[in-house]
Amino acid sequence: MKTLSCKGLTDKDQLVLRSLVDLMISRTSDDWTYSEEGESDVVIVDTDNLSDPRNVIDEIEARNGVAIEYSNSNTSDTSRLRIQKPLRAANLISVFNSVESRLTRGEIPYTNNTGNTAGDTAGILDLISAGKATLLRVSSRDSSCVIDLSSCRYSIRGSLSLAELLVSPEKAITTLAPEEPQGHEDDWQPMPSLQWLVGMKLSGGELIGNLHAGSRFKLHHWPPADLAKLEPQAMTLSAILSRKSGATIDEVVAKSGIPDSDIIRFINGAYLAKAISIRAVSTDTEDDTPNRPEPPSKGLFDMIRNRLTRKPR
Amino acid sequence: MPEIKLIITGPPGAGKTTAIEAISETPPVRTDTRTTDDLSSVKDETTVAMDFGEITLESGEKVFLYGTPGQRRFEFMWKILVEGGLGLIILVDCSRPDPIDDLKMYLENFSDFIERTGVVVGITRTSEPDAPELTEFYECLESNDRVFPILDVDIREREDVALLINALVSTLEFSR
Repeated sequence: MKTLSCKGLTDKDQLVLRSLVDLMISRTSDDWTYSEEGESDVVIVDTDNLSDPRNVIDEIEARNGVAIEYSNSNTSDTSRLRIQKPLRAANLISVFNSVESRLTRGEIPYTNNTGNTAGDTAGILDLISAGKATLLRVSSRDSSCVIDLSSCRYSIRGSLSLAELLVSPEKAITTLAPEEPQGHEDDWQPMPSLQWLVGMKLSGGELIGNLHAGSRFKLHHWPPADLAKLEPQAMTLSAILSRKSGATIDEVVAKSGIPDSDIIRFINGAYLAKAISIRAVSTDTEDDTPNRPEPPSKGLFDMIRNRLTRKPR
Repeated sequence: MPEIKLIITGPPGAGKTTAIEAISETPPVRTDTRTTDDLSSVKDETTVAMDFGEITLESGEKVFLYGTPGQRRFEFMWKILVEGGLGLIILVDCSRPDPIDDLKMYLENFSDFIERTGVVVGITRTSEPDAPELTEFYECLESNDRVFPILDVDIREREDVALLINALVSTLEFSR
């Protein structure tokens, strides 16, 4: 059973909608019922009659409802399902079947809006790593972003940056079907480290499903420069994990002092970016390399790093 | 206390002088002369001995940055400049005909120094139409089972030069 409601529709349109819902039940795969109150699964939003339809739609999507735009216009700059006025049974059935199809494919909604805990977002990383989610919409407050992981690009609207949006406690994540237009096509911004960033920011303190905390991880590629600028610890973690034999999480903690939760975030990001693999055993011989001069003290390295973060004199 | 010295190398025009200008807190010392060979179509002047810049640490110690001449005919200078160096930055210019071959050549020529110390690779002008992907540069390193940092950088930006040095310092501190 799925529930349907509306926002901004005229009394006449509401009456027509109720009648059509009753009529079309036999033509849709699932049972639909019209709901006057509460949070329904699907909300038809009359974008012509509302003063700020965007806010209304954002609120619906923030609680992982499905918003359907209802308008006189036959074009839209978004990827949302839409119905052109006037209401017709055929259009309604077509849109509702699309909703059911998307829900069946697990495309909408993915997460609920209960906060950024491990359980809320860790599963999305599993879907991404399995290749089952390459296109995401992440929404929070006034901001929305479509993330195209296969092409390492994103399109964002609103006041939040991509990094802020990905860690927002109120975020809602929706996976999208790749073949559907996303509505942000003109605004795509390339980001070489997008997979890495998504893996890091959506980590909830746990490794992606098929990784194990006791494993030895070996980094094959350092992160792109844009990520290294966003995540200062990335350089240290990359250096340790790119040793010949890689390193376990415990070894990285011991060597760097970086908390294991940050190391797990980095490993998840590297895993999504296909930059890391598992090593069975330690075969590290670098420490035994002959003729290596004693490295300068750690204090010197820290001083150089500190100097680099300061503005030029 | 031995000299703290970082070396920047790479083909002519890759941005070695520009990198030192971007990060040095003093005007860099340059040993440029007018180009008279094929390189004259690319740049008016080229480094013949070295470029030199410096950064002062809070302890008062100085980190010296040495840029090598890019042209192979000055390679005798390469061995001289790396003596006592802490680590190496190789700049690779994607507007040149074969940047991967360039990288191989510098890795080979500085292999002894790299083995003793560490290296980071800065890839410049990656927006060139035929620029190789970063993964192609990494594949070039895989044969020796080592992973060096390879970063896409705009060498005119101080932040990007700082990132290369930071990566090199992290490699020196943790990759051994």
